[in-house]
Amino acid sequence: MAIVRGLAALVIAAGVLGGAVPAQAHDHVQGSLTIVHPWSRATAPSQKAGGVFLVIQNAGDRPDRLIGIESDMADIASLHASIRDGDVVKMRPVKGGIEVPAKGEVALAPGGKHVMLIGLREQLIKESTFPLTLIFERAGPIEVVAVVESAGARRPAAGDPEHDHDAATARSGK
Amino acid sequence: MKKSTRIGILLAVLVIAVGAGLAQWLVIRNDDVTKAASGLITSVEIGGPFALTDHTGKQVTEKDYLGNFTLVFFGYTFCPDVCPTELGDIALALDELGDDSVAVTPVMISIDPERDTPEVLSQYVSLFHERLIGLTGSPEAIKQVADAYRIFYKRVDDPDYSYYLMDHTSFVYLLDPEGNVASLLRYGTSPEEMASIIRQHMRG
Ligand SMILES: [Cu+2]
Repeated sequence: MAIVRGLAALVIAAGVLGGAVPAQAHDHVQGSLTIVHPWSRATAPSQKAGGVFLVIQNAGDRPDRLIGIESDMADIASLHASIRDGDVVKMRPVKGGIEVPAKGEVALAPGGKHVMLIGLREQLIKESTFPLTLIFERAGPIEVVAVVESAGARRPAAGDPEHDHDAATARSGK
Repeated sequence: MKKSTRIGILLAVLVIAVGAGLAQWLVIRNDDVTKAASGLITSVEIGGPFALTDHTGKQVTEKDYLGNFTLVFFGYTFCPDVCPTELGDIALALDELGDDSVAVTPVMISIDPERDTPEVLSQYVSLFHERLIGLTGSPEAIKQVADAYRIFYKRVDDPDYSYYLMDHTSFVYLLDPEGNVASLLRYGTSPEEMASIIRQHMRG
């Protein structure tokens, strides 16, 4: 864990400097909450919306709630969910935030809950990073760094030992 | 055996039976749509002619894509979640096909023509696959092709902001080289499954 935290510090440092970082797993720990590997997807200059995905783990005895997002990357940063209604997919703002159960976790992943960046001010370029702040009801603000993956990535290229996704990242590696 | 245990077992059996029945009903229903899509049920016709503009600004019709298999997806570029996932899966399916992938043309038809101009699409499509074609058109032309392919789409405004989102059917259609719908691939079909379905149709 210490190594992972060290890496997170490195990633944050690189993010602050605005440089590209190797796609490695990174976590952000604050109190009983761990934000696991925040990531996003590359966008075209013409694309004015982006998504951020991550996992929130809560080691504590009390639930917490993700109630908001702050980011300089976009005009609006909000919590969204993609919902399937038969064969129709819909995206809707999440009202009232996202609960993180005590001794549990919640995943923001493609096809479900996500951070929605609307009115992107910058193009999201693969392998770059950007900061955003997650606001929790109890834990308060937690600043994290998101790593930008390929445009069609289903999951981050690192931080998920169960799958090998070299193909997914190599494919649109332009 | 205690009476409460017996009732518990009975309940469990009932739940399983109802669940199985529901699952079967869902399978049958999905199967019907797939059959309809593959022309086995002729009362439901899917597909047909269209006249749109591609991401290079060229006027195109369905005839431009005959002779090759076509994967058609309906989506929009303002969607950061489901649409990139589907397009990523389509690109992976093409990778999976290896050399055979040249016989398949991937196409995304925008259901958001107001924002998705040819210029917007041209920057977007190359992020996913070098041969992905983006199509857009007038609202009427998009309505016509969406109706022909049984695609539902609806603009959803956010009362607090000036942006809007789109609700839409997330089907991927496989068209054969004659332009007929050969298969319907639902949202969530894995790239491996897509590739294997395409292979089956290639073998005829
Ligand atoms: Cu969203």
